[in-house]
Amino acid sequence: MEIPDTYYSKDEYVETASGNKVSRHTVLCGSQNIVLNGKVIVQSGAIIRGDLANVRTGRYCVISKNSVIRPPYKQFSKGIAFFPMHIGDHVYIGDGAVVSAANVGSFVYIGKDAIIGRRCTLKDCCVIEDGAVLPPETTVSSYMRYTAKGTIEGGQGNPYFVPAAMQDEMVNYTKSFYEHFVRTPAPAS
Amino acid sequence: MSFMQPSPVKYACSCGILNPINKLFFCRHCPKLRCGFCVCHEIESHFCSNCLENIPSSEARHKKNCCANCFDCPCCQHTLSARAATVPIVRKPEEPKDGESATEATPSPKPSAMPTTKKMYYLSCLSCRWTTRDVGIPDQGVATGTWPDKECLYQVRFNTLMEYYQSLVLQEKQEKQEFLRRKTPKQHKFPSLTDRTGLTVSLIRRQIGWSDKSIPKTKPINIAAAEASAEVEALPEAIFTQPINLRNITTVAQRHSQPADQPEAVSKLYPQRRSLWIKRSLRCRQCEHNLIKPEYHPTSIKYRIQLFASYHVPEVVMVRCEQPLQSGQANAIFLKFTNPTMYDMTISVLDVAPQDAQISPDALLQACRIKEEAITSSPLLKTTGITLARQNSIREVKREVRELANATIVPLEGPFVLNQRDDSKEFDEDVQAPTEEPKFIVWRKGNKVLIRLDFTPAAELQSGNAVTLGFYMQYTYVNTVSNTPDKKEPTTHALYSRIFIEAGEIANAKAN
Repeated sequence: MEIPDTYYSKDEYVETASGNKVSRHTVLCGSQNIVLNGKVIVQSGAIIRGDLANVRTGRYCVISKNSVIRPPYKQFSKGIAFFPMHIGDHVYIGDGAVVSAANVGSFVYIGKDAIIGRRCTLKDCCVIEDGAVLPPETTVSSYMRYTAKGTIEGGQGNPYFVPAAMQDEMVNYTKSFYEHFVRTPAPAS
Repeated sequence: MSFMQPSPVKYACSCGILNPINKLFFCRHCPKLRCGFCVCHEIESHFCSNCLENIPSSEARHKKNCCANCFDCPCCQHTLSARAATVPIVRKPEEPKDGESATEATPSPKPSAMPTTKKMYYLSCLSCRWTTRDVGIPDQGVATGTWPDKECLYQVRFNTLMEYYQSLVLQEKQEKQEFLRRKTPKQHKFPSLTDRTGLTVSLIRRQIGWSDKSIPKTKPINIAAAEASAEVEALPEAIFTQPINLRNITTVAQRHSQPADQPEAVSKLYPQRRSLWIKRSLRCRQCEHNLIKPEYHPTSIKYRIQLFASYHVPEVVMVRCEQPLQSGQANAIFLKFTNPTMYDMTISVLDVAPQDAQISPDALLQACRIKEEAITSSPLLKTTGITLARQNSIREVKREVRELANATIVPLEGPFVLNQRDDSKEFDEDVQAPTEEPKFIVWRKGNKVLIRLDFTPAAELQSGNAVTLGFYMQYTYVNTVSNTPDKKEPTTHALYSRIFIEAGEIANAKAN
């Protein structure tokens, strides 16, 4: 199914020179610590906590409405420390997801309302189902699907869970999402 | 609309199962569509999904397909993580006050006068907060590797049983070989030195000074058979008198995750070694070529061989339906065709199966034969003496695709050309010269074409019924692999696949 066009008004979104489309209705704390590497969409209501630690995203990422990107922390005997967070290319983060992972690889799909606990590692080409809750320090390796029930399934070459061509699927999906995320055409005068 | 949702466009695999294109593979040698059901699944490599360590298959078998370092929580089956805790080590003859047996596990050889602290590790589940301290497992001095395995009560018995059955298998194999040799007719009149049986041969061999060729027969070791007894221990008194505290009793899932002893009490739970995961390679059952072969390394996402259908077969995407669906009323659907290959394709949309589109059976047979020869000529198989004509697991059984369509389509007037894929076109200015296009082509850009297909849902459909339209897509496919070594230039095949599209549901009649 073709992705339908999503329209946004000119007042709502800022488009940068590198093609990032960032809503004005977002909370970007510590914006000097947030690096969006081009063609990234940050939708309304999203929160990125750059004040805690650096946040870097790759190209063609989608950070959907009301999602929270929060760098992970680790507790030491002398207080806590925050760690920088890296998100790869072509990553989709669904509506209302809370991501506190240490590392999110490329071509990762995070469903809506998923909660990624602190210091999780999501390797390339993995899928987090809608509403899944990952306990802290979980590793989801490539081509695995973390279900809402809390189990891990799939594996590379297993055709029933994560598509074998996950990389191409995510590239197509995020690219066409970007291409179909267009400004509302000005009314014909 | 997310790509995780089921796709409305389904392709019929050559085995007859409907699948979206991202679950299909395309065997270039057959050339046919394959799905996960009609291919051979093989284990490519073992790895641990938590520590991402590659484990060779022999080692995996030795370790019973478990990771050496990672543990699963016996309570919730999530992965355990090692936690560090500083424990004061008091160098005094009496026991430490906190009752931790941790200091016992690693007694320091040289006593020091002043109290020191030491890092000790325990395993903790961050999902359900279970820790190894809950069940009294002593803390360890190293984070990984030193956790003791719980010895199973019946381990010795299991080992002897396994030995017995292994030797039994060996014996049966030998007997079968012997039987086969006797059954096969003698090829020569005269005894040959390499023959295994026959008195003369053994005499000649002995004269030459060769050893007798007969292999001593293995005899299975004797095992004591298990005895059933009718006497069962009586239930303890407490079970009738004490109220049950369900918090202390394990669930069925917890017992199954610990199959060796299946504890009843929560206090008997023990960390379980994490089972390994595999990477699979898929093989076409008909020609035994690999369809996908992942790279060895657990963190790698690449493939050494990847024959996804989306790389070879034109992709059909449903864009939209023209009007709300009404039973018996003509409608139109817009479909986007994408050519993923480096060659132009000619596509026609038909409502009956094309007659000449089938690949000739001779070519197919040849492809299979070449592959079989390659296998039989391998020296390894020759020495083992396995029957050489390797059986293909399943000869192709042509299954009829269930007729799902409940709408009649109007086939397109003629074929149309789908241009080759050109990634550089993405960056070009769109200066395609307007050419004479058939009427049904709505829009064309690069390797993509949007067409309009007229159809009529069946008249007897009720409102709310799903409308499925089916058609045959015939396309030309340029095969760059050739089975015969003398032919170098790519061959062009006319292939077809059946496609079913769920256009949607019949709209409410009142809406009209």
